[in-house]
Amino acid sequence: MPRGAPPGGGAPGDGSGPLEKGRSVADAILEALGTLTSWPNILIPLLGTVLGMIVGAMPGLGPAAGIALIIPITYGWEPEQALLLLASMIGGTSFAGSITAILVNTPGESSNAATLLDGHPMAKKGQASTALAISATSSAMGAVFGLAVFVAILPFSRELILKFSYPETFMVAVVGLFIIALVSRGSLVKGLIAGGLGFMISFVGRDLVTGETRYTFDSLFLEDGINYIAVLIGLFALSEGLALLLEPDKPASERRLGTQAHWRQIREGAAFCVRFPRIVLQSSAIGTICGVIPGVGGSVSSFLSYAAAKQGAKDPDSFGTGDPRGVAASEAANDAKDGGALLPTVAFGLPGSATWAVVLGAFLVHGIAPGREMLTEHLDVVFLIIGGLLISNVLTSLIGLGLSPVLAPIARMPGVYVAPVIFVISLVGAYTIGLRRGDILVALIAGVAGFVLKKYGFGLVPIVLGLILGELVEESLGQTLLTLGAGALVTRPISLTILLLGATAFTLPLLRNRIARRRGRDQDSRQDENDRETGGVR
Amino acid sequence: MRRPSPAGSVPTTSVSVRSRGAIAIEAALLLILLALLPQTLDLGDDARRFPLVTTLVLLVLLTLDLVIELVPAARSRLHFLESDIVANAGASPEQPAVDESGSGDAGAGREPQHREFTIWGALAWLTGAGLGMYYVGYLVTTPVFLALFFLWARVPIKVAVAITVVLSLFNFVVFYQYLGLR
Repeated sequence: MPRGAPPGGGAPGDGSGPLEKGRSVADAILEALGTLTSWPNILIPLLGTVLGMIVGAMPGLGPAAGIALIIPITYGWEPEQALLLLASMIGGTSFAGSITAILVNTPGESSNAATLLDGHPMAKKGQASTALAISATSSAMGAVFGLAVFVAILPFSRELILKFSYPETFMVAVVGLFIIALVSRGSLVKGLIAGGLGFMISFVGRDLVTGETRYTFDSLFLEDGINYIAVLIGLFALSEGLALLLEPDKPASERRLGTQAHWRQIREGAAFCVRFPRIVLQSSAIGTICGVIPGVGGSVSSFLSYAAAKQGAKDPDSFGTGDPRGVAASEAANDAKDGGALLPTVAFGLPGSATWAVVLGAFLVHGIAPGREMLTEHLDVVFLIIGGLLISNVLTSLIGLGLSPVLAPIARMPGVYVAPVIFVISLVGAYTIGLRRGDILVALIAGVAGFVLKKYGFGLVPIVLGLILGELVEESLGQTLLTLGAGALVTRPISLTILLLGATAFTLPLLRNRIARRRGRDQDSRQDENDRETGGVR
Repeated sequence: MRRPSPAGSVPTTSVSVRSRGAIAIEAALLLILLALLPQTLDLGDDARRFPLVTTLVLLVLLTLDLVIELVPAARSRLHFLESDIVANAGASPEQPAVDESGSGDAGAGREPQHREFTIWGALAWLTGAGLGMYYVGYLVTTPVFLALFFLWARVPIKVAVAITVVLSLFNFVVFYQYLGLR
């Protein structure tokens, strides 16, 4: 198949490359469209979406692993076809992971962990179809937003990405630490303890900066560290399975919801994102920015968006009890991050996430080098990837909406049917992460520990956040100190801005609560004075 | 007033039982961290920076929470640490939407066939599944575990057979045959 826009005429760095020439970009778009609509390529996004949805719905088998397993199949394919398939798979995984998070409290991917905070309570209240529809719609909207931003800033992507380095990653991770406090429902101290526990687990293994082993007790398995996906599977999926076995069954009448009721819920869910665009736009923006910063990943972006939505709400208490805004916020960010992560991947060969790192490998396998060459000679491939992501995100949402009436009843099935399925899928999922049987034991221990901790008032989400952020904070600080020095943390404008924004986001609710409490006290004292003046007669 | 975690669906327990459980967990964590402290101090300067800070912060937090749990006077003074940071000031903490619909009416209209589970029973089944996967492998454990579980739980035979066959076949076709996971 014909490929390759004419190489840009300008010399490197003279600002006259093809990206600056509108015609070349238009040519690349037209060429990508031609490739996309030709036979059999037109079927590839559908294939990629279905494969991505299967991978996404399986706990443990993350998109990175799923895509890595598919790459060998594409060896004999044209490069455009292979990359179209992989891009479509990425689009398919993001939303599919939310299906299991909503229905059985088991995130398909770690980036869907924030979705279960409100998605699963919604399902328990009989609103599974609404939650799935919100997830599908906000995912599609987030993906479109992220890709639109990607296309808009592509011409000056190099300058932009150069402004992000280790200090900025460190600051985003530090801001992420504030989220532990923000998402800790119930006791703040217990939330912080749970976050600290997650941190401690992240230290197990070989220190990436010094190479020293920590808390390994001479175990070779522990030297590689504890895989946070296995912990996540245990904490959420297995502990939920245990809880399901112990709950009384719902009456059969409550478990059945008519088809019309399902479709009414789906319409309500889809309309929700249109009626509350601010949440979706805000979360999409956060997701896109987090995607651009290498190493930050989908989990952090989802939790950041969730915390921002909760913090900005007039009734933040409803978050965590089945608030549709929580589902919309985390899913919009999760899908928007792909557009952001694409930017450093194609512009610098610097993958924005583990998934894009695998796709980057596929670029090289198929003879396409990221960087200037990709933005000049293979610009059509870039737009083909955008097309694949866009189509698959819309397709996956449509499929999700269509399947909602079939899937939603799972959330209300008797625990004795669902729990053993969760046990088997989760434990097999833990094994598929790295084909290490030790991960099965990690998931098992995390499952029992999660069940006990949850029973006694400790949050599970802070543990996961601590686990994810612990490694990120330590690694990015170590790299900052080695390469730029500690001063870079506060002298680089973007790094400082991120810190100030995070600190403001953290302190604002505290101040708001304090002012509200003071007002309440003032009202009480005024009431007391009135009582005294009137002789205590009310 | 304390509330269970949002993702929770564990049956609610009384405050005193929860407090006793939390105290036991915190005391155990305190002991584990103290036991790990010498290992942490033995690490090189760069490698121990974060673990040491985290250990010390955790020790302080655990002590603080134990004081809150054990000393009623401290609980009333430190009540702000027992609530959400982001919360409606003055709003009464709502109960989570956990199982409200199912509670109190468990007997009406439900299938009575299957056996009730105790905590220890549920933990034993999970542990059995996990150890089976670890020692024997997923291909054998999946059908054996599901069959035994459903037989023990007295699940209707059609449902039991359908789930066991579908899941076992899925594992065999997708993971064993197609993906080659051994």
